[in-house]
Amino acid sequence: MSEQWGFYFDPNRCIGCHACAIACKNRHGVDEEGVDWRRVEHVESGTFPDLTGTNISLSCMHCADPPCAKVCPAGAIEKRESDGIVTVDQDACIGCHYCGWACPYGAPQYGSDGLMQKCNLCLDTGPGSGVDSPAKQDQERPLKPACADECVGEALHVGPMDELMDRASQKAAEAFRDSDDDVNIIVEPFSGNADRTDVAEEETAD
Amino acid sequence: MSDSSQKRRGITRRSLLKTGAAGAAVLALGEAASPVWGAGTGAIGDASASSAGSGAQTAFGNCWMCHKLCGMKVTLNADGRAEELHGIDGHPRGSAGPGTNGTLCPKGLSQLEKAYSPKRIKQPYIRKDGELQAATWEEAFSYAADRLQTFESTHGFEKFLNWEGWGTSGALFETLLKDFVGIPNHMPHPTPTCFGSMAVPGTLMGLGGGNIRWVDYPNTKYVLVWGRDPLETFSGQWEAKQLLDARDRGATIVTIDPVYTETAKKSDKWLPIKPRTDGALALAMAHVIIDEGLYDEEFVENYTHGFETYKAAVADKTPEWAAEKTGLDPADIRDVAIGFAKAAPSAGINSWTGLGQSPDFFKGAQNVVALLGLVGAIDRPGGQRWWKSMPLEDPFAVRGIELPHKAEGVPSTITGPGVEYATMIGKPVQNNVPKMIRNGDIRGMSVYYRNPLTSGATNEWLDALDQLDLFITIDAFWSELTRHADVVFPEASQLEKPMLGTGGHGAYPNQGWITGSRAAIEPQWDTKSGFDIVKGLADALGYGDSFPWEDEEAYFNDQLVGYGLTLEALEERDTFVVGDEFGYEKWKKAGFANGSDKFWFDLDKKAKLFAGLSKKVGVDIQSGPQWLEPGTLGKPVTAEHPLEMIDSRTVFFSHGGDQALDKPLEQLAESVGLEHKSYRGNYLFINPADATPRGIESGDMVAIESPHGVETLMAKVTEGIVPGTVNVEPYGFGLGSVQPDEEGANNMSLNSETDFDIVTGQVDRHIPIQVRKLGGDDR
Repeated sequence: MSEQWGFYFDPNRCIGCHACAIACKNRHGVDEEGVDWRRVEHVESGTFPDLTGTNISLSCMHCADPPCAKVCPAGAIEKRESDGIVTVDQDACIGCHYCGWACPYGAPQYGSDGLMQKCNLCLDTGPGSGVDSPAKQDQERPLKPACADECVGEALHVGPMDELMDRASQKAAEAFRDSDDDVNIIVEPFSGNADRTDVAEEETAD
Repeated sequence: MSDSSQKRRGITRRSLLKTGAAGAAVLALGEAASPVWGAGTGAIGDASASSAGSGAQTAFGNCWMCHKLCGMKVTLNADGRAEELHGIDGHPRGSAGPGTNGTLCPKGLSQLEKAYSPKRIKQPYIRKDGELQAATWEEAFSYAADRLQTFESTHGFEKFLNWEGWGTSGALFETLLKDFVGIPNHMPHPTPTCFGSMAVPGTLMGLGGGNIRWVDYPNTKYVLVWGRDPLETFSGQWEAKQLLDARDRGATIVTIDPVYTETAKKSDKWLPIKPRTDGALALAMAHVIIDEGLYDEEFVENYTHGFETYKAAVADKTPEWAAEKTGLDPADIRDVAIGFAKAAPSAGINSWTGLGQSPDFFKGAQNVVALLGLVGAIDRPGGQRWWKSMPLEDPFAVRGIELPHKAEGVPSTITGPGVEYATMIGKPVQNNVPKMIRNGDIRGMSVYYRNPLTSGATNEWLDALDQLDLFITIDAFWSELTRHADVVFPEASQLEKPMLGTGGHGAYPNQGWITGSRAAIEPQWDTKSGFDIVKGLADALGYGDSFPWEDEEAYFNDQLVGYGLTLEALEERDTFVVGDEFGYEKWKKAGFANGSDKFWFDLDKKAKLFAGLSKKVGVDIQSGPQWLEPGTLGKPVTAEHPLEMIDSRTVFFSHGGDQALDKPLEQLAESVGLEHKSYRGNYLFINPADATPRGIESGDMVAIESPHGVETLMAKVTEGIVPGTVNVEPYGFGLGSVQPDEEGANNMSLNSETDFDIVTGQVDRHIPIQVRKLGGDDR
C-alpha cells in the first residue's frame, strides 16, 4: 500500500463541541436525523466528586483489514490500495446492513434510501462519493477533511499515518504501534485532572 | 455489537476509549513529507474554495449566533447558495491569535441551517381585526409608524419600553426610537438579565463589571474558572483555544463550580462547590493569603481602599470554616489560595453568570472580586485583562446629521434614582415590567432579538402581553413573544447581511481590532436586514433624510473612514485588522472602573445603600466583604422545595434564540447519550443521590416544580453535579421560547416576578424546587 490515511486525536484538547460532526454534515449534505458519519462520545467514570470525563470524536477508522468489507455480499466496500481509505460504492450496495453489524465502531450509516454511507475522508463530497477518486495524496486540490478543519480545540488531525506519528507522544505512538487493533487512529492518553490520574490508571488496569 | 467483532483481536470502542486514558511521554519520530491536516497545521489549497467544485466562490461573514463576530469564509455554489462555512486563520475572535487556525463552533456552523430554515418568519405580519396577517413591507412600515404616532398622542412615550436586544442593528434601532421618536425607556441586557449580581459589585469596587471574565491567557500561570465554562460557553472561540494552550503550557487551571463542566474535565482540580457558597470560599482564600503573607503589599498599600476592614472580615474565616459552608476539602482551599497568590500577578479569575444570577451573589461576588485586588492581579501580565477597542466613527457625524435627542427631558419610567419601578440604586428591573403593564404604566413595547419570556417571570409575562396596546418585534423565528406582537418584522440572518464590529476581548492580548464583511447571500424569503428594517421604519416616520445611506454597507463604510477602510478592503484582509499595541496597569493613569484612583475592598462610600438594604431585609449587611448564608437575599431551599435549580448554556445554542435548529438539537441529545429518544428538548442534570430516591433514571420525563410553576423535561442522571443541585441545560426551551410547541422546559416559568436582586435588578435564577418522575411517558 502506498499510503495509509487516518486520524490523530488528542482528548486533552477535545472540548466535546461537536463542530466536527456538524462540519461533516455540512460538507456532505447529510441532513437526515440519526445519520452520523462522525460523532462525539462523552464518557464519564468515577463517582462524585472523583470523576474523569473524556470526549472522543469517532468516524470510520479506515481499518487495515476492514470487517465491513469482508462481510459485504455485494462487494460494494473497497479498501483502497492507493491511500488506504475505505469507500462504499452505492451503486453496488444492496442495503443489507451486514456492514453495520460487522463494524465494532458503528461507522456505517444508512439514510432513508437504505444504502450505506460513511466517512470517505473527504475524497469527494456526498454519500457514496470518492469511489473513483484519485489517491488522496495525488489529488490536485484535495479537500481538507471538514472535521479536522473546524476542530475548535485542534484535537483532531487527518493525514497519512506515518506523518501523524510525528505529532504523537511516545505513549500514543507506542500504543498505536503495539496495538493488535488495525484501526487507523492515534489517540493521545488523557491526562485529565492531574490529581485524579490514579482514577484513570485504575480504570485502564482492568 | 456482534460476537465476531468482539472476538476480533478484542477491539471494542471501550478499549479504544481506555487507550486514551493512560499516562504520557514523548517520542521523536520521522519527518513529515506531505500535509497533515488539522486545526493549526499548514494546509494545501483553500478548503473552502475547493469544496464546492467548479463555479464555487468564496464570500465572507462574521458569525452572529452568539454575537461574537468570529470571522468566516462562506463557500457559495454556482447558484449563489451557501454550502460550507469555515473559520479564518488569525481572526481575533475565531482563532488563538496570529498564525493559528481559525474555526467555527457548532453554533457558527449551524448558520447554514438557520439561513435556509423553513421555520423562519418569512414575511412581515401586522395585526388586523385581532389576527396577525401577512403584509408587504410597505404596509408593515406604514402600519407601525401610524400606530407609534397614535400611541404618542394617546399615552405618551414615557409608557413605551424598548428592549435592547442582540440584533445586528440594535444600537441603530435604539437611536431611532430614542433620539428621533423620543422613547425614553430602554431595558439594558447585562444588569437585569445576564449577570447583574456580579456586574454591580465588580464595577463599584473598580474592576469593571464585565472584566471578571478576562484572563491574559498567553501569560497566565494560574486560572480560577469560577462559575463559568469557557470551554463550552466561550465568548468567541479564541477563549477556549487560548485556555487549552495555557493548559498545554503548564498553567494551573482550577474550576470552581457545582457542575462538572467541560472546563472542569480539563482542569487540574475541580472544586465541586455548593451553589451560592462561593463567597465563603473567597473569604477563606483571603484568610490564607493574608495569613501566609502572600498578598501584594505594594498594590494594597498604594492602590486599594479598605484593606483593614477586609483583613478583619476574614480573620476568623479559616479553610475549615469555609469547608463546612462549601462542602469542599479545607486542604484544597488552602492549596488553591496559596497557588493562586504565588502565581499572582500572573493569575486571573474567569467568572460570569455563575456568580451573577442570584441576589446572594451581590455579597458573594464582592468577596470573589476582592481577591484580585488582594494579590494585585488587575491588568498585569498573566492576570485579569483590561482591553481596549479600536474606535469607529459616528456615521451620523460623518454625514453632518445632528440627532434631535427627542427623548431628552422625557421622564424614564424604568431607570433612575427614586423611580418607583427601579432598584434601590436606580437600576431597571425587567421582572417589574409585567406589573408595570398591569398598572397601565407601560402600554407599548418593542423587542428586537431578545426574549424576556425565557429570562424571568414567564407566567406573568404571558398574562401581560395581551394587555399591551402596541407591541413591535423584530426576530427570525416565531415564539410566544412574536405571536403576541402587533407588528412582526422578519430579520435576515447574518449570512444575508453585511457586518462590522470592533473589540476588545479576543485573541490579540495587547491589540484592539476591527472586523467586517459584506453580505454573502441575498436575504431569504421576504426578509430584510436589521438596518433595512430600521431605515424603512425611519422613512415611514418621516425621518428618512436623517438615514441617508443607500444600504448598510455604505452605513458601515462611513464608520471606517477614519482608517481609510471599507468592508471590501476588510475582506481583502480576511475580514480583520488589528490596532496598535496597548500596555498593562492602565489604572495607574486612568484610575479604576469606580471612578476612583483606588480599588475598593470596602464599599463604605456607599454606606447609605448598605444601611437601606440592611433595613429592608432585616439583616446587618456590611459594606465590606462579608459572608451571608444562601437565602439571606435570595430564596432558601426548604423541606418542600429541597433542590436548588440552576441553569446553563451549552455549546450548541446561544441565548435562547436558535433552539429551533435541528442539527444542534440532535447533537445536544447525542452529547447526553439520549439521542435514541425522540425527545429534542433540554435536560435536567441530577445527581444519583437525588434521582434514585425519586425513582428517576436518565431518559425519564420529570416535572420541576417551584411554589410558582411547573415544567416538564427529560432527566439526565450524572455524578457530575453536586447533590442537592439540579441544572437545566440549556435554558431557553419550552413555553414562551422559539420552539414553544415543541419539547423542553422554560425553567423561568418557575421564577416569580418578585424574585430578583433588589440592588441590581438581576432576575434570580437560583430557584428552590422539587423534582418528581412523571409516569408512563417514555419518549
